[in-house]
Amino acid sequence: MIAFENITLHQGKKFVLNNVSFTIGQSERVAILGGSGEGKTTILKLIMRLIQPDEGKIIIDGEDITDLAEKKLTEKRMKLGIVFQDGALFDSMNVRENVAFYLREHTNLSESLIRKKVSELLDVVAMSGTEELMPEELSGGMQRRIAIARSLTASEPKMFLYDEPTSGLDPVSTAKISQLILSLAVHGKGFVIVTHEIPVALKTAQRFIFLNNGSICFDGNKNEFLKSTNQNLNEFLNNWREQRPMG
Amino acid sequence: MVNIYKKGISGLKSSLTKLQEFYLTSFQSMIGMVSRPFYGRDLLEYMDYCGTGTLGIIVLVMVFIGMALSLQISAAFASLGLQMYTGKVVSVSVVTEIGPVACALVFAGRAGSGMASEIGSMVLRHQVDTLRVFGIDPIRKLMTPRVLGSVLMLPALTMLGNCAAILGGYYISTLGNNQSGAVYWESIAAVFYPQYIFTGFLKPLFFGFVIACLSCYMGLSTKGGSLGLRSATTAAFVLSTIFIIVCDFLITKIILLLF
Repeated sequence: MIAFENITLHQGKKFVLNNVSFTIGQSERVAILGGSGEGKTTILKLIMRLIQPDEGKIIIDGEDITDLAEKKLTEKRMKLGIVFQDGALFDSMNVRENVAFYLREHTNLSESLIRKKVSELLDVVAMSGTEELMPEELSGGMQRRIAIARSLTASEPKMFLYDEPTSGLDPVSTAKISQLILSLAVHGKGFVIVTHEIPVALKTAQRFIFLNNGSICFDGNKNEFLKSTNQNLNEFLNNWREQRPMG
Repeated sequence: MVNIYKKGISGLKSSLTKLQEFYLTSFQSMIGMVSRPFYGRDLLEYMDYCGTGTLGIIVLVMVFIGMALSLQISAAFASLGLQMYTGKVVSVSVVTEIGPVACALVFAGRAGSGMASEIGSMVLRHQVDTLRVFGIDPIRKLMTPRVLGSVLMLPALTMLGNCAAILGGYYISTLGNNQSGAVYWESIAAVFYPQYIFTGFLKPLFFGFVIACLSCYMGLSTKGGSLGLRSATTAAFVLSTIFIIVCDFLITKIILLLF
């Protein structure tokens, strides 16, 4: 479904990503972990081809999209639902307008059908009754759930991409978002979650990719992840091990 | 020495790249005016924001400009016994020069900075990325309605601002300097000379386009958090101001050559 072949990206003279390669299957549940500024969000933006790599190839569904024109990219992007950090809801629109945005722009559905579809999607993310609220009236967790509902309107995404979906949230909201992410990963639909929160990654993902200095320094399953001898990964995990409650 | 030379070359390359991007986005925004999809609701919303929202400030500024101009001209002309020409000088200078420039500067400060900060904030909060993911061209959706709205609204605002300045001048001439109101209005008829009307209409049209294109481009190229947003907003206003002043001179020169 998603393949990176020797992707390199610079920002000035600094490497953001250095010769990164991986393949992610459609039904895989992958967590990309790493400290701040390690290029985690950049990977999601590259998958969506919102930015262009300096070197390497991005392959989605068997097609090289590295140099694909913006118009043709829409079709590829529609196969993936992305939820940006903080939800990225449009400030000037209420919840209904945000969720209905794609339907209004790209379909000729009647207003009543759009309203029905929006209600159904809000039900999926347990946000019914918030249609008239503005984004500023919602908590961080609620905004992200609305953003997830909005990502479902575009089409039936084959995979979801989540950019720090639980950062800055309280434990209850974090648990709700994690549960929602898992509940959407059915019928062979996988996801890529970018996070620096290890408990969220452990709860949701099956495969773990760890980034350090713009390179992949670990790629494996949960067991391998927790028992890895990689020094950088261990430093990252030790901080969490020291803080987690015993038992 | 070599380092300075390399930095100079790299700075020049970067500036030329940005200039190229600016021309390209401005051109794409113009294409958006004549091809589907049209964002009529966004256009109306923006016209309301920059038109209705800026009108009060422009009228206030222009009334005082007209009053100050009338005071100065009356004082200068009084010693020559030419006070009857106050209305003519006020109106011609307001319609051809001061009006378009002052209104454009106020417009750049209010609407232009607003555009840059709004779009810049959308970029930083991934809302522009979301548009692209949904297959919507941010230039058509965000830039075209703002450019078209500015091109339509700034001439109208300038016209109203000019009227306010002439009225301000009238107030000072008649009530402050005890001149005849009829003489003031009669002398204003000179402003209906085609060259002045054309100048007074062409300048705000062009300024509206430049302000909106620059502000939207600065907003769309915002990078680096709140500091980046501050730089983008400041750059939008500073560049708009410079362009307005330079273009004012160039347009005046061209019109004087043509007429």
